[in-house]
Amino acid sequence: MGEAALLVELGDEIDAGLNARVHALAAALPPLSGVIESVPGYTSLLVHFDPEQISANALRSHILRALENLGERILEHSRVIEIPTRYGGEFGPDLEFVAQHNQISPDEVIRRHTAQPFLVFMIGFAPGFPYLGILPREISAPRLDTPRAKIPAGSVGIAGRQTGIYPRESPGGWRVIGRTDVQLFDPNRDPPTLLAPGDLVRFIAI
Amino acid sequence: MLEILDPGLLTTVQDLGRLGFQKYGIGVGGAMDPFALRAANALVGNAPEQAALEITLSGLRLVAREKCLVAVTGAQFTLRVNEQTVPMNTALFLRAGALLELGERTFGARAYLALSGGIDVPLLLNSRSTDVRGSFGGMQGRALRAGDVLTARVLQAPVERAGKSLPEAFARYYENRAPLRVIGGPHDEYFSDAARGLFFSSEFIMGELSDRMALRLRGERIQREPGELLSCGVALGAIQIPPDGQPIILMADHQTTGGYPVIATVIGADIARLAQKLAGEKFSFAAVHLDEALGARAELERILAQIR
Repeated sequence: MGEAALLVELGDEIDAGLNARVHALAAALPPLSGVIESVPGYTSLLVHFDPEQISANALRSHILRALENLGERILEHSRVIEIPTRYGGEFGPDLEFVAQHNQISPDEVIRRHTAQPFLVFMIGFAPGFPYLGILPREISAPRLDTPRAKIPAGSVGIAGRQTGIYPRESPGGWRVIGRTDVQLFDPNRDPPTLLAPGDLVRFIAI
Repeated sequence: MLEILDPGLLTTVQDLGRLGFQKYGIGVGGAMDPFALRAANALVGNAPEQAALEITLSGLRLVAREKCLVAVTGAQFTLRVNEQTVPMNTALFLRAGALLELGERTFGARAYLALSGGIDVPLLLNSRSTDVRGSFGGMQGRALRAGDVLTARVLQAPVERAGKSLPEAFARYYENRAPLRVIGGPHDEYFSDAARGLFFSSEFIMGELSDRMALRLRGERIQREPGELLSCGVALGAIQIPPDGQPIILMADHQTTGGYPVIATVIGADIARLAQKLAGEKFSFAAVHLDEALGARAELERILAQIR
C-alpha cells in the first residue's frame, strides 16, 4: 500500500485460527531497523516501514521467513479480560430488537452474549475499539440503516457476527445492547488501551 | 511567549505524528503537510520533529510576549509584523510586543508556524500532535483559542538566523501541477481493467467534506467488483473506493483500519502538495513505479537538507 507499507494477506474469511496467525506473525517479526509498526486486520497484517532504512524487498523476505517459521503455532497466552455489562433498558436500547430479530428472548440474548469469551480480532475505527467475534448466529443483527449521531462511551454493540465496545462517545451504527463502565482508552496510560489484538474478552452481566 | 489573539478557523499544534500505536486504533495524525512543517522547523534551527502550529484556511493573529524567532511556510498568506509586510518562508525575529498577522491567503490550505525552540506542549504517546476527534494531545486535545499562550521548550531567539529563507526548489515543489503520483494496489481483485482505466484517465474534484481525516473526491463513478473486504490496516495516502464509487484519499488523521478496497496509494512525496489542495480544485492520478516514489522522497530530503 504505497512505498512505505506492505500488506500481508493470509486469507479471506473471518476465522479465529487465521486471525491467530496474524497476531503470531506480528509478534514474530524481528525488531528490524526501519520497521515502524504493524497493524492487524481480520486476515491481514499491514506493516508500516521507512523505505529509506529498509527496502520493500528485504522486508518481504523477512516476512516470508517469519511466516515459514510460524508453522501451526497459535497464540497460547491470550489474556482473558472481563467486561461487567449492564444489558438492556437505557443502557441497551437495541436489546429488544436483537431478540426479536432472532426470535429469542432478551434474556437469551444476554445468556449467549456472556456464555463464551470472544477474540479481539483487531482494533480500529477509534482508539481502543475492539472488533470481537465470532458472535453466535443466534444473536447476530444488521447495523442500523442510519447511524446514531451519539453513542455513549462504554456502549456494547452488535454488527453482523461481530460485537464491540465504544471506548468514547461517538457516532455509530452498531446495535447497542448494553453498557460497561470499564475504561477502554486512556492516552495517559501505558499501554493506552485496555485491550490488544489477540486478547480474549468475556462479558459479565451485572 | 506567543499569545494567540485570534486563532482563525482551525489552528492546532502538530508535529510529525504519533508512531507505534496504530494496533491500538490510535492514528498517526501530525502535520497534513509534513514537508512544510519540517521546512519551517529547519528555518528556525529546530529538529524536524518539533511541534509547530498548523493554521488552516483562514488567517491568525498573535503577539510575541518575549523576543523569539519564527517562520511561516506552507500555504501562502500575506504576512505582517506590526502591520509591515514581511516575507513567508523566512526566519523572522520578533521583538517583545511584536504583532504577527497572517492576513489574506493566496495559495494552499495549511500554513505552518514554527517557533525556535519548539512549541512546549506535553509529549503524549510519543507525540505533541493534537488529535481533535479523540480530544487528546497538543494543547489540551483541542484547537487553539484566543488567549492561549504558547511557550518554547527551549527559550532561544537565535537572531543570527533571522532572514534565512527557503531554497527556490521548495516553492517549485508546490507549483507542480502534474498528476498526483500513485502506486497501484493492493486490492486489485476488486477493480476491473475498465474501472482502473477510468480512474487513471479521469479528472476528480475535491469535495467540500474534505478534512484532516480524508479528502473526498467527486467525479466518474469507479465501479468495484462485488464482495466484502474484511477490514485491514490502511496507510496514509491510500485511495479507497466506497460503494458510491467516489474516491476517498486517507490523510493524516485517517482511521488505522478500513473496510473499503484501496485502488492505489499516493506516494509520500506528493502528500504535501495534496495537503494544500482546496475544495473545488481538480486533479488526476498517474501510476508510477516504486523507484520513482523513492527517488521523489530522496529529492524532498535534498531540498530540506539545503536549509541550514
